[in-house]
Amino acid sequence: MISLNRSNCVIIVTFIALLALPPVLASIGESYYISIVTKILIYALVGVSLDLIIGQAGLVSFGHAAFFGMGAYVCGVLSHHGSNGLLVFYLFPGTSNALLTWPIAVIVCMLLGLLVGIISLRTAGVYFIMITLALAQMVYFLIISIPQYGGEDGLGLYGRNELAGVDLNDDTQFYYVCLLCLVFYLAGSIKLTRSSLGLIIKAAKFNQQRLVALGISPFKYQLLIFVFSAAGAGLAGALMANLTQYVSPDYLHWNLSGKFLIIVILGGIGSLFGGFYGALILLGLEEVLSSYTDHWHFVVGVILIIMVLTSRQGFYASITGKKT
Amino acid sequence: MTVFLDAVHLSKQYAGLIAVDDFSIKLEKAKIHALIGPNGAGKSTAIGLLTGEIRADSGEIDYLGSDISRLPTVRRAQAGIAHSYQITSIINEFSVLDNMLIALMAHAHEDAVGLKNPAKNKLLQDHASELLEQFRLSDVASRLAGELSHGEQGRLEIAMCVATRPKILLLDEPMSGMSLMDGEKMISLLNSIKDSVAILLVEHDMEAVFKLADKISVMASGKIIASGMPQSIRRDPVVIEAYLGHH
Amino acid sequence: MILLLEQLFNGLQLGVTLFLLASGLTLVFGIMGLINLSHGSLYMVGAYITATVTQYSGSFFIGLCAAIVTAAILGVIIEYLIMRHLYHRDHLYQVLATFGLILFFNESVQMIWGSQPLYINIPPSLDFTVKLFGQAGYPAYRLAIIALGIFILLILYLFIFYSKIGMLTRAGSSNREMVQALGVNINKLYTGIFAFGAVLSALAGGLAGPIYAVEIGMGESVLILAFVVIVIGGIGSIKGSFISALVIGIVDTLGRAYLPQFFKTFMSASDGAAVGGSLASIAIYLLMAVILVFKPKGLFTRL
Repeated sequence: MISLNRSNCVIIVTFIALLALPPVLASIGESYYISIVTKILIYALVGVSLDLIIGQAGLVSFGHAAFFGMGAYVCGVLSHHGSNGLLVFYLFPGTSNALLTWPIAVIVCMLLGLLVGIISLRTAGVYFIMITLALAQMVYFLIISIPQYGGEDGLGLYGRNELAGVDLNDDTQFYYVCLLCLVFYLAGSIKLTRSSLGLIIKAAKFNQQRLVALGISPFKYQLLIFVFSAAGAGLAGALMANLTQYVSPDYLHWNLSGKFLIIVILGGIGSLFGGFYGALILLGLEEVLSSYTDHWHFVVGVILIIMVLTSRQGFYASITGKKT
Repeated sequence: MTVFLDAVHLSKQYAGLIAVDDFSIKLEKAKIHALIGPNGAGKSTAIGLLTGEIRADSGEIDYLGSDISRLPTVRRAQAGIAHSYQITSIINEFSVLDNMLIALMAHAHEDAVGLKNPAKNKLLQDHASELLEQFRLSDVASRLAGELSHGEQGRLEIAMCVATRPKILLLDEPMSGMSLMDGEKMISLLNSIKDSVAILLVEHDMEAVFKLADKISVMASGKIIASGMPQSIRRDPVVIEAYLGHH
Repeated sequence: MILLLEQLFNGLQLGVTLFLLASGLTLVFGIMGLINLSHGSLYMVGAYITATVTQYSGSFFIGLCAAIVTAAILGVIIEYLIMRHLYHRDHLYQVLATFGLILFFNESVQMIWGSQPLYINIPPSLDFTVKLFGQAGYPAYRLAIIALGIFILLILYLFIFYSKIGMLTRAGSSNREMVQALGVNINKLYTGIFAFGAVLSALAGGLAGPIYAVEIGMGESVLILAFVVIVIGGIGSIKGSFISALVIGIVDTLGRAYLPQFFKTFMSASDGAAVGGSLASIAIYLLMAVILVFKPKGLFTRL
């Protein structure tokens, strides 16, 4: 039975609010906001996936946009070929069936995560940060060098993917699908952190030397959580491609990787649920600031610096009173 | 007598400085072999050579009939060579119980590693509480390891080693800085676990060494200068000159 | 053959530019343990100041000096206000704060200079070509950059290994207390090193001005290249970053020049250009990955 402490209350209230949001917005005639909240859910999914490796494994990935963007591009490319009838890499036909494209996007991102993980997990700390950044940059350049897929201009989709029984082109239904994806990924993440695997991964974060002396090589466990994290970011990318019906090289850009880190910090490291609140704050801030000034990045930059220098705990910790 | 580990002619230099020179040692089942010597004699380096944390320049280590001198630390640990650190190396941010669970999953309960919550694995939990009981840590099982007393941390350190079911136990000053009472507890603990393992004990507390050791080797300037039964070491003029005499 | 030589020198010139950036990054990381993403912002600011002052004064040299002075002042201010509070923080927070600085600088530059790129002319005194090995001409300006880079490498070496400050710097990286016991104000030392790195970065930006467009975000792509340089060279190693900067510069330049041609020899022209072009754009990252597989800590681990 779930105990009704402060943090659980916050989560339950948030969840109910998210469930009730579309009808409420529809009744007050502000349905426009649904796609903004959908974007928040998608960024929250990346936030959770990134927090999983930062908070649990102590590995700071500065390349999560690579997985996000790759997920989006897989989706975009498949549906592009689905509509023009040409074969992908001369090998297989495209499709816009969500039950095919989304899993393929996730699997491709897991393979990419495996590759990036194998190279970067041989190192730690600042090397890990720089290598994930560099490898993500590589993915960026690789994809924009393919003119068929739009190069630096990106690639438009002919409508959202198709999912049996659901109309993804309906913003409300798409919103609930995104919410469902977030909830499932969160549930999986929580299961992983509470498992014995999670315990070993956390132990490696605190004292890797001891783990080795006990005869446990943490590499494969870290690789596992890294791949799982890449899967989450990839799924989010596939959803993003559907939301905007457009895949942009910006989805792969290192600036976005930086934004994902901000989301994790704003939400609170190691809290998992914080990923949602971090995305809510950052995107909310963007939405508000950009209506006042074109130079809202300036404000975000200053806030970020002040936040780090005054070392605030994340937002999740301050509303739940829970230390993370 | 069963020899578990037989290291011969191990040497290690650091930029021309000889840290360990022609170090040979035999560790036997159910015996405690003490390694003593002044600070800087090379005892910790010698332990590092056996665990693989330091790679030897030359020499061989035979463990249960195979040469392990090229194996990395993690493989040696898996094969049954456990190391307790001079500066305790428990996971301070974890509870005592979680520390034990990690150690148990390293070897004895490898199958427990998975997506299941370790709190719900009865076998694992029972084994952990059994060990905590044996090492008199049951009362503090849910406390953070970093908050334990010095004596409790030392016992947890060794309990974690024992949990990996080692054949060789390399103990680097397990009693340093301990109160008299904690030291006594440790001595009786070490006596209680020694039957199935071969122990190498590096220790400054001479009283403990003479109480526990079946054999003593004395190191000075990277070399073993004497080796033998405790009684003979106590009377060895070379040892008295090099080491014991200063006390 | 002539083209190859020219491309080789272009690669050297890119390598030297990368070295100017990477040396500051690697010094600051090796000594203060700080990862500074905003290092590229000083490159951008250096380029903008050089462009503007050159335009008003008519002298590229004065423009470059103005960039250097500005970078030194900015370096001191940034170190004092922000960086010194980050030395003992987790790398994650260093990344975030300096990422915030990038946003700050990019928007500031946009507010001051607008979003149109600026262009700087090559200084007239260096606007001629030099015959290399009796063959075709090579721009003197690019040769000057290469020479300057080698000159700065020598200065850095003399500084680190023979000056008192350099020795203290090396000691400070391993033993903070000892340096302080010697009566050296380590805070001032660190401020100085940070400002020095800022100056090198702005110098690189100013020098790059006449070759590339001066635009917002120009510092970021080159910063990531500089990261690749120091990851390969070994973080904290000046020698390593010099060697790997040259390797990266040459591999990148030659890759872009020749890989498409190479693939065209056994593929259709369009496919060859596409595959070669793609491979060229990621060649240095592949090189990094391969080196890391064998040497996870980079090629050199000492200063």
